[in-house]
Amino acid sequence: MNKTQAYAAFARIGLMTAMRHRLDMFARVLAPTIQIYLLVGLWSIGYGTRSSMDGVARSALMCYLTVITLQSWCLQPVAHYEIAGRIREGAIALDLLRPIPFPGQVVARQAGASLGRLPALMLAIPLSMFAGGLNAPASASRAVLYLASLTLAYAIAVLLSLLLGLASFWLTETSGIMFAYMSVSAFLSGGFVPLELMPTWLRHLFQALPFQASGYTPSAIYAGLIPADGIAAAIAIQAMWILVLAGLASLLWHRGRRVVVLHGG
Amino acid sequence: MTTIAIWWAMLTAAFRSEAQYRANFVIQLLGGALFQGVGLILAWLIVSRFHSLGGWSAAEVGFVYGLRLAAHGLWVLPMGQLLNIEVLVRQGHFDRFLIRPTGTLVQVVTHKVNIAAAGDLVSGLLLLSLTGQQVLVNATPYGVAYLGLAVVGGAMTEGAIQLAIASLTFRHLETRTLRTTADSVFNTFGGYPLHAFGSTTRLLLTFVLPVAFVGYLPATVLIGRTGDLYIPAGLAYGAPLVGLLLFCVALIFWHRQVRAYQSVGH
Repeated sequence: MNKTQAYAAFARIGLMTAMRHRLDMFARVLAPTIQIYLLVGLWSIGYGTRSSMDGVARSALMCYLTVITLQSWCLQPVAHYEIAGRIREGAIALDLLRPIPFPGQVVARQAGASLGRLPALMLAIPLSMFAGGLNAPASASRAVLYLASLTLAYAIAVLLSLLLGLASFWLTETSGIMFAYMSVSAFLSGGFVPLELMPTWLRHLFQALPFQASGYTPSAIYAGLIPADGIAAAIAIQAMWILVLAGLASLLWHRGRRVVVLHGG
Repeated sequence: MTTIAIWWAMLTAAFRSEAQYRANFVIQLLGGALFQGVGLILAWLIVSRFHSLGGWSAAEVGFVYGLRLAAHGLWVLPMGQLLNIEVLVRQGHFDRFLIRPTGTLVQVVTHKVNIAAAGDLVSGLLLLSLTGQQVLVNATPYGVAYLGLAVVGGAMTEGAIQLAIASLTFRHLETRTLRTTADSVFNTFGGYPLHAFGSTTRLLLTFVLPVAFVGYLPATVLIGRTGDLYIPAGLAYGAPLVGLLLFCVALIFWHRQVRAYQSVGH
């Protein structure tokens, strides 16, 4: 078996795990739809009869909220859960013996898991158009740039998840960090409020952290919140975060494999 | 009575074991604070940007949020381990619970403990006492007693929904998405004056997923805003009873569903 086949096998495992449970698939169609419906409802109360607020048009905001919710549902990384679980159960010993590097295994499984979320997403998209508001991007070039930015955002989300997972090599028990990460990353990626509607202090914090590059950037490009001449810079910032996070992940991996404690399993 | 004694003994043991991983213990408390901080910031952002929400002031919205938060902490602290149910079921750890001489539910909810919930409870009560001074119309012993009942009833309402979803795990094996979705609807949208939403949303959040019974409905009673209600005021007064009722139904459901457990062999 060559390397490609090995990676494909890991991706298949991730895909099968994600598609295994029917009730869960149903919930996955429902979950983003409900979230979008309520979030759009909440902001609608605020907007009242206004059509624009601080330069953010109502329709653009609704489109932004719909896109970012669907997007983060599909891209939601699972790598950190998996790594922590395998360390706690001692299964990490086997993983480390396998002929392809552990981070590669994790990323391949993650890719499969994300693919497994696509069918539910296809059903959730038309529902979300009713629940929220989904316009086509303003131009074809914006659509292409959205897809490019989305790809980078996915890489950032997976890298963040991988980093968190690798931190389990040192911490052993990480449920606390996972919990903090989930809540903070959803907010700081712009999942509830776009940058444009944040107060200044929060905006600075938002811009200094990598989370926005994993959610806000592509959605804001799609919904037109980022003007055409700002798109190149936004994508460059995403690329910079990928370099930083990948460097950090590689550092943690090379040190972490030497400190990992194997729990009997 | 013995069940409660066993529950208490196991809960304190779980608490001690949690305190062993000291770094995680601290981070977990911080994580809990951050999680609720995020929800509170969203509520504050929206209220401060638009000055009021459904005609309610920031203090009134804060009171609903505090009520919801305290109720949330009160259900998660003793029962939050239900959120781990599928690991127990799918990996066969549940086998152990079946051969021990006490109820399965008691063992599930005490096999670990979620410390972060203590933070929710404390910050919820803090928020209630801060905003309560400004908005409470009936600060008599009866009013305070009703507030206490409302927190307990709200905890039972949210706990009942989570218990019912967790019970589905025995047949369907994976219920995490359903549970986290319910949890996020309670957390993200349970702290607002619901009459401001459209009529479909109001009915969904009252009768399909009973979010309204946790914070909003008892809050209208306590701050004298039953005039804003879209349902008979009697139902708002009875919110704590609704919680008790739902919880009993969920308990019965659990005991029926537990029979569908199939061991994976261990």
